Amino acid sequence: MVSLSTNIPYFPDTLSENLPGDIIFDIFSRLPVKSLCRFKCLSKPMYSMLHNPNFIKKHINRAMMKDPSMLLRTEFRLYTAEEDEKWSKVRKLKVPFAQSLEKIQISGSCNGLLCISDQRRNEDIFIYNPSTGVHRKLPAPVFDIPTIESTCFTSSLGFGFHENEYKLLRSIYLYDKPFENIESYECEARMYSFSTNNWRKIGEIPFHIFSRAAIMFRNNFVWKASRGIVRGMSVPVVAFDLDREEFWEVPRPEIVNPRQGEIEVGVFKEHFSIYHMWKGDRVDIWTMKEFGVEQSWRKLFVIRPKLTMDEGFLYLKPLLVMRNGKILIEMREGKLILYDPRTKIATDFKIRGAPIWFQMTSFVDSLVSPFTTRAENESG
Amino acid sequence: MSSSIASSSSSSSSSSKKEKKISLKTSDGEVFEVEEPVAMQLEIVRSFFADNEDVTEQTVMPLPNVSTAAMHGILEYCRAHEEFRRRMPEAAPEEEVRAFEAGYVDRKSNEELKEMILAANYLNISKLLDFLTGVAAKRIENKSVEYVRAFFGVENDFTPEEEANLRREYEWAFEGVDED
Repeated sequence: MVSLSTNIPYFPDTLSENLPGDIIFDIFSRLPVKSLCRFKCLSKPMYSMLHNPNFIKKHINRAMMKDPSMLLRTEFRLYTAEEDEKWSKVRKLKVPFAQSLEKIQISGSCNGLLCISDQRRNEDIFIYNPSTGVHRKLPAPVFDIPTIESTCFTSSLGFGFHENEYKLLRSIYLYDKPFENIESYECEARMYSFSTNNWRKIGEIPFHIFSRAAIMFRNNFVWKASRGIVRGMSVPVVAFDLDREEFWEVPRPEIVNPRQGEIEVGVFKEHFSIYHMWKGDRVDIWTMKEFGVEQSWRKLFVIRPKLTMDEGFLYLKPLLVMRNGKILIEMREGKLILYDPRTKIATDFKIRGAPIWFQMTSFVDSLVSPFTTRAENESG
Repeated sequence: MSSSIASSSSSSSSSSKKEKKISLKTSDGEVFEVEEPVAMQLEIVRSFFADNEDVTEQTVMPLPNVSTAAMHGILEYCRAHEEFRRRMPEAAPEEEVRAFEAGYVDRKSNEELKEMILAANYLNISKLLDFLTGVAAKRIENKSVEYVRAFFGVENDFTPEEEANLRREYEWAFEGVDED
């Protein structure tokens, strides 16, 4: 727990008639962003406290100790669901820039900011705080290889916080030789940094990354990639090391019969993990105790819920571990279950007011602004 | 069974000294005789007795910033936590602690809550202060701007036009607010 007596910046006692400034600071740092946006009109001193970088930092540090908020995405709309006992605070977001997107794509979530792009083109990239509604459009990257509409290309993104600023990596592949090995396609990667506001060329990518959004783990972006064609295709796990600015392949665990089902990369209890999702109701959770070290792979446990409901689904996809140790799992779009590893019982996870069909991304409820180059939330 | 063993072993030293008491005097002159382990949760008391060599068991420590009413609330909380600690020194019985804290705070008005926050801050009881500021946050979370201004005694120094602009800008944040 954070002690109140240490590391509190000075706030004037004029904020309130009856409580000292540092106590007001502490009470407000516990509130959800929606309440704070309302309380901006309490008074001018309160307004400036709520915009103070130390306050924003304290607030996000507290928010990170709670379960994250959830962003529900349908094809054209975004909703948020905030934690309360019933997950009933669903709010439809007014996203002014969404109209310019053909299909909303969430390409990353980091410290309260989301990276939003277009699923088809990925031309327009926005950094968006769903709690405050503040957004910023990034300048379009210019690539050396052609990205005109008649050429067919895919792209993937990585969004994260590194060396005290937000970074974005975008890579594109040009599909001009449809029947050849995908590794022969032309590709290019560029990195955007918030402080310089430009896209710097990183070079070629020795892998074919096909998942659009990376996860961030210890100064690395990590994606699923593909190698070979059709029958001979395998799914390597690829990382980009932000310190060395190099792509590398993360060794995979020896998964028995990997053709059964799918894999997904994730972070499970602070370790880099691979979820091996079998067809049906079984997921094996593999964690890498030491990131990058092949021998450190361990099969942590197997999720195999006793399902009482008869649901049509392909496989179970773990989304996040809640603070009470239960695992939130997606059965299919719009259908979530909460799995208790101790009892192996899964219960329906209902979000009251949610759309019937959605995909979920978690985010931290924070006041962090996409216009701040040096973010308020550096740890410490 | 296990709890009785734990409590007898942990209290053996204090019971041999016939449960030492510490006298604390509130702003309105009342003297509280407080069991030592409970009083030591008040950091200001602990450091007073640790730093002053000439204090004796008969010393009455004055606490000029704490009212009798607030002192009753503070001691109720500290005694309950001392009891939890005595029974289960390794890990507090979470469910029980939560149930106690919920019942404890339900009986407190907003005025009492603020008075106790000030007292806990002055007496430097970080655990209680952390708990009480969390309670205050829960109480105002869904409330209106007017309610929160009254709660903290905040003087509105915005012009009507400035305030109207802010309310427009954050219109969505005013939806679903509880009645005062």
